[in-house]
Amino acid sequence: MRAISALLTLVCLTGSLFAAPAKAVKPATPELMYLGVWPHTILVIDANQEKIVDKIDLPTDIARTLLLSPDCKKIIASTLRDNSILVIDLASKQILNRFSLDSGGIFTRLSGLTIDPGGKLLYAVGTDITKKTDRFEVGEPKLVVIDLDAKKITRSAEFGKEDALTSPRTNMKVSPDGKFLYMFRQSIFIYDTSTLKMVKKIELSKAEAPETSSLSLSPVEDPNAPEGKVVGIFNSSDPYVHQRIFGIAEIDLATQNYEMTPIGPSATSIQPMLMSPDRKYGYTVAVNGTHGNRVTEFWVFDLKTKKIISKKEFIGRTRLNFGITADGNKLLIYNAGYQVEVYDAKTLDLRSTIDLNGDTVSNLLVMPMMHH
Amino acid sequence: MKHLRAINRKAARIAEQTSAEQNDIVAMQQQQPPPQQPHVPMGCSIVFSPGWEVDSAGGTAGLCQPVERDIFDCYVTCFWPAQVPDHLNNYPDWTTKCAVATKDWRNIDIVFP
Repeated sequence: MRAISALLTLVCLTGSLFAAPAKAVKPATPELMYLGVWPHTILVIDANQEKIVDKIDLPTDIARTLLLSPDCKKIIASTLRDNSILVIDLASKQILNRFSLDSGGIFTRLSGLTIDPGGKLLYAVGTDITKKTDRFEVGEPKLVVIDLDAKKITRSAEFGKEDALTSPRTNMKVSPDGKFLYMFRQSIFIYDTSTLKMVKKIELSKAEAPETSSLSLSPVEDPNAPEGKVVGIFNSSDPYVHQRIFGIAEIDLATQNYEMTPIGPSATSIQPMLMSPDRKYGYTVAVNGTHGNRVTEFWVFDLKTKKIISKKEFIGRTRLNFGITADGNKLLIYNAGYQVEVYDAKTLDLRSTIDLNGDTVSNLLVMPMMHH
Repeated sequence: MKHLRAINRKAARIAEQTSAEQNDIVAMQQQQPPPQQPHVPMGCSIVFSPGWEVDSAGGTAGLCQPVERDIFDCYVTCFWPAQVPDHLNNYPDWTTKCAVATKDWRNIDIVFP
């Protein structure tokens, strides 16, 4: 009887042993990410498999900026040499729309590209470069509206004295109703999208707490953010002893209210903060020191208490961009090279390195979880 | 203003006050003195020594490792005209055969301007 019982137990155990791998081999839903690489290619990377699964060849030049359409079914890419806009269907990998902004010896370079919630208009800062017989003449940067159906710049407006650009590199975001364009610089400039005139300026440098003499904010496109809310890391210094500090800023774009929580002394440079999908944890890369004395660290924040809960040093490349997968489980280091380094968001250990077979040329576009 | 010199006590006090306003007098701060910078004129874009790249400290520790890792940004983002061909106007295809500069820099075209 004991022998039969032992045999039954063995059979059950064997069965469960064989059943376990069947559960494990169930294919995980792909978590797709898109990244432009040299030459003329957008790679499709599966974050679950941590490898390249497809690629999209571009007919003209390298993609410098990748945007996701509001319905998450298309990519809008701006290319470098011919200043083109390409609309790529993600299901078929076909180019649906393509046009250049250059005409008659005038080249229009774009920066700060962003898309309207309707998905038909793009907003950018455009700079005209006119080819003369003996030189190129660089014009003043303008706020431009690109109509994807009309395939051209349909409206533009020059910046005034109050909102003059100090650098063409800027972040922009359109309000959920499409009526206002937010430009994030030293302050937040708000434009009426119908007139392209500045209607309001949120002077972050006049924030009352903490008292600041200068302040900068680095918001990122976050698919999980509540509508009209921006959360990012700010760096500031007080007007008395000029101590540089950093913290977390939360801004309501609808009411223009903001809250700033100082956290600690600022590092030499801090990457924009990226958040887990449940928005409980924030991650960034802080660099302390310069040149050969650089120390690169991951910092993890508890966003409820606004405190750093974990830090880990890693071998960071000299110039890097920071990304996070849609499920928030993996941190990504890319740019200045041909590899994406994948780190575990919990342990902050290196998991793998994805070889792109091409130098990185664009931002990393991560498909939000709800669209996988 | 270096050519003007206070010649009486009142003018000297004005000069002293002006000087104090210009100087950043701060208390209890623990800032390090700014490190001495090398005399590299205007960063990489105005350094006309082909093949010579230094960081802002005059060394190579702040450069990408290996240095070929950064070649894309030398002619696209930074636009480093002295050392590399011009991708936008004159030599658009000079690195077409070289997707990964770190691995296959030997495939980069030689350009004779």
